[in-house]
Amino acid sequence: MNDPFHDLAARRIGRRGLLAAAGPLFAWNFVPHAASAAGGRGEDQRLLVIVLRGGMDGLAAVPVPGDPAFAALREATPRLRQEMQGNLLPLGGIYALNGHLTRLHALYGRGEALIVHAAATPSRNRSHFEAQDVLESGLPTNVSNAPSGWLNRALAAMPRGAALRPAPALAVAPTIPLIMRGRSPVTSWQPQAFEAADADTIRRLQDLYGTADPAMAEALRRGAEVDGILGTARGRPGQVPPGGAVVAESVGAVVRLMARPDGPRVGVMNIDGWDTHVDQGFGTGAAGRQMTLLDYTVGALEEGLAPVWGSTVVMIVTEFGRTVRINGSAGTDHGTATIALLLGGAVKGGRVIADWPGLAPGQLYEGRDLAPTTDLRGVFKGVLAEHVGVPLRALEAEVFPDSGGARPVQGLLRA
Amino acid sequence: MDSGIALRRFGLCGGARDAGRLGSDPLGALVAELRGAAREPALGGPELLTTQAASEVFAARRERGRAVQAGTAERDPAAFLRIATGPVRQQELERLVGNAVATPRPLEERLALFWANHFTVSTARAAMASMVGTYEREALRPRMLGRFEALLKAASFHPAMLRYLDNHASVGRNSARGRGRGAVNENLAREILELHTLGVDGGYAQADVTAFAAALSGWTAGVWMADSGESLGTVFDAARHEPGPKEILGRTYAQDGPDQAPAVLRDIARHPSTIRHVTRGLATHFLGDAPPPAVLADLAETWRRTDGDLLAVTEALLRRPESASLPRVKLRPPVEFAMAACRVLGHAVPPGPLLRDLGAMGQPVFSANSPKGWPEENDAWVAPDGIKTRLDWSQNVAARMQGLGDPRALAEQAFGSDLSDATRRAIAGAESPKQGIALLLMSPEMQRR
Repeated sequence: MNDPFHDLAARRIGRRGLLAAAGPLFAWNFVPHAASAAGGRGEDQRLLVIVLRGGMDGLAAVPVPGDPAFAALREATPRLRQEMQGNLLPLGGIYALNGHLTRLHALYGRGEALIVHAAATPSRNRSHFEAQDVLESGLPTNVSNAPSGWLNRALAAMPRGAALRPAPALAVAPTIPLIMRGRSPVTSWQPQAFEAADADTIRRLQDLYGTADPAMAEALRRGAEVDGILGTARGRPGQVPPGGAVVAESVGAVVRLMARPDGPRVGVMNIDGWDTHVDQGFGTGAAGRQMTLLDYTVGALEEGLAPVWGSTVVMIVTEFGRTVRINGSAGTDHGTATIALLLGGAVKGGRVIADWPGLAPGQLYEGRDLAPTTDLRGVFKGVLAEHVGVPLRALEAEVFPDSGGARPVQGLLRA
Repeated sequence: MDSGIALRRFGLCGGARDAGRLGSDPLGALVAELRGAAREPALGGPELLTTQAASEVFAARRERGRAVQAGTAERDPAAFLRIATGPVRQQELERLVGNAVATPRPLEERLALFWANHFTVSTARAAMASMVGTYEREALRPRMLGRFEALLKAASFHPAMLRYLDNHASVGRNSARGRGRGAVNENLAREILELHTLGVDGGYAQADVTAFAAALSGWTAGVWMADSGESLGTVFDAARHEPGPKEILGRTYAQDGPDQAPAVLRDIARHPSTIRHVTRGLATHFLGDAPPPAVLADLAETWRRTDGDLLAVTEALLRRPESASLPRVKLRPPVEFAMAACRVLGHAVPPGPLLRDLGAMGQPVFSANSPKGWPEENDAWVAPDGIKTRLDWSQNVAARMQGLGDPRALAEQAFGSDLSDATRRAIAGAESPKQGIALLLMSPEMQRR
C-alpha cells in the first residue's frame, strides 16, 4: 500500500531507539562485504549522504571560467566581477572552485574529493517539492506519497553477515527524510532542545507504567537508556560560521556517532538554505554564506571521521541547479543540472567528471539552465555497487526502478 | 457517560475551566458543545492572517518578479513582499494552545485536529506554507459540523490545497494553454479519492483518477488577474481546463468548465465508499484501531439518513454506548498532548519553543511529510525517542512555569472519574510539586484517551 507510515518500526526507533534491545550500543551489524568475494573492499565502510535543500547553484560552487560563455553570464555585474577576481581556486582544466571552499580544495588536491558537474535527477519541472521527492525516492518521476527512499532500499539490499541482525542507519533530522524512509530500520537523532529529566522522576514514572502501561514502560526504558549515552554526542566541532549552529550540531552528531566502532555505517543529514533567488552574489551574499557553511561541514567531516576516513564516502547532492543567468534580484531561479560532490578517503578524487554541455545560448537546457548530461542515479548506483557491494540486479530492480538509462558510473572509488 | 470519558476521549483533559462544565450529564454537555460549535465556530481573531491577504502577497510577489525581469521595476530585494512561514506557524500554534486553555468546547478543538489531518496540507510545500492556518480556520472549521459535501469542496478548492497538491500546475493537453503539449497533474485527484473520500480500496481505477484530474484542471490559486487588476485566492482559469465531458466512476459529466469538478465532488461526497471510509476514520480517531461494526453501521446509517450531516454523524458517535465503555487505548499525538497539558495547567506555553519541542517529540505541527498526514494507529506514537522527549518536556514545563497549583488537585480536575489509584499515589508521593506535575503530564490517563 502507498503508505509512508507503513513501517512504523522505523519511526518507533527514535533518537534513543538506537538500542534495539539489550546488548551492545548500536547493535549495528551491516557488515560490508568483508567476507564477500565480489568487490571485496575488505574494510568497514561508511556512507553519508548530505542533501543540500533548496537547489544549490553548481556554477557558484564550481564555476567554469574556461567556458567561453561563462564570463558574460556570471561576471555580468561589477559586483560579481569583483567578487570573482582572485577568488577562484583552480581545479585544472576549465573548472574552478568558489574561493570559500578552501578545505574542499585541499581535499581535491589530495585526491579525496571528486566533483561531478552537469548532473541532475530525472526531474525536470523545477519544483522543490517534486525534485526533492525524485532525488530521494529514486523513482523516475514524482509520486506523491512515495513509500520509501532509495537509501533505505539500498540498505535492505546490502550484504550482511549471516549471523547478524540488521541494525539502524542514522538520520540526523527531526523526522526521517524520504531518502531514508522504508522497511530497513532507521534511527533519527536531533539536537536535544532541553535538559533531560532526572533519574528519580524516570524511576517513579517507570513504576507507574509498570503496572498500568507496559508499552509505555518499555519505550521509556529504552529512551532513557540510550539518552544517557547519546548525551556525549552533543557539541559543535571547530569554529562555527555565523548562522551555522544547526548544521554544526548535526555534523557534530554525525561524526561522533559514525566514527564509533559500533556506530551506524550509513547516515543522512541536511543543509538548508540553498534557494538563493535574491542577493546570491559569489564571495558575499547568500552564496558566500552557504559556501562557508559547506566548507565548514567538509572540514568537520574530515576531522571528525578521521579514524574511518579511509573507508568513507560522503555524497553531497541537491535537488536541482539554478538558472545560468542572474535574475533581477541579483539571485538565480530554479534550474536543472548542478554539481554533486564525493568526498572521503575511499574516493578516487582530484577529478571533475563531466560531459560538459557548454554554456552558450544554444547549449542550455530550455534556453536557461545548465543542461544535464549525467543522471545522478548513475552516480548513486556506482557508489552503492563499488563501496558497499549492493548487487547490480538489486540496484536496477529495487533501489532505482526504471533507471536503465542511467548506467552505474564506474571507477568513482579507489580500487 | 462518565466525566473521565468526556474529559479524555472527547476532550483535552480537564482544567480550571472544566469545573462544573460537565455537571451530572457529561454526554448532554458534549452534545451541547457540539451544537454550539456548529452554530458559532471558533475561527480565530482578526490578528491572524487571512487567505485573501496571503493570496495577495503571493500574487504581488510574482508580479513584481515579472516586472523586474521585464525591466519595469527596481531591483530591490527589500521591496519584495513575503510572509515568513516560521512566524505564521508560531502564530497559528499560539492560537491552538490558546484555544486549548480557554475554550468552553474542547471537543471542537479535537474535531479541528481530526479534520485538519484528514484533509492534510503541509508547510512541506513552500508555495502555500503560509496558508496552513488560514486553511484550517477558513475552509475546515466553519464546515466540519455541516454537510460533508461542503467541507470536501471547501478543502479541495482552497488555495492551500490546490497548491499543496499541484493543481495550479495542471494544464489540460487540449486546453487553450496546453495546445497539445500540456499535461494534467493527477496529485489532487488521486489524493481526494485515496485519502479524502473513497479510500484506497474504494473501488476507483486509474482511468477515474485521470478523468477526475482533467475535470479539476483549470482550478488554480494565487494568480494575478491582469485584466481585472485583482489578485485572487482560488480561480478557475478556463484556458487551462481540459475541455469535454469526463466519465468518472461510471457517470458522465457533460457540463464543462467550472461546474464540472464541483459536480464530481457532489457525487463522490455521497459515494458508499466515502461514507464507509470517512465514518471509519472518525470512529478510529476517537475509539481506537478497530471500531466495533455496530458503531460503524450506525454512523454510516446516520450519514445516509441525513445526507452527510457531520453534526448528526458526530453526535451519533457520542451517543454510542461503546464510546463510553471502550478502554482508552490511543496515545495522544504530541500536538494534542501539548494542548491538553496547557489546558490542565491553565497556561499556554510559549509557541516559539513549543514549535521546536513538538518537532523533537516527532510531530512538527503543520508540517506532515505526506498528504496522508499523521499516523492514526493506537501506538503509532509510542517511540522511545518520543516518549522520553515528552518526559523531558514535561519536566521542563513544570520547572519553567510559575504558580501551577497543587498537582494532586490538578489530577482530580484533569481526569475526573478516570483518575486511577496508582496515578493518584504516584503524584501524592512526588518529592516536589514540580515532579508531581511531570508525573501528572506523563500519566497514562493524560497520555492515552
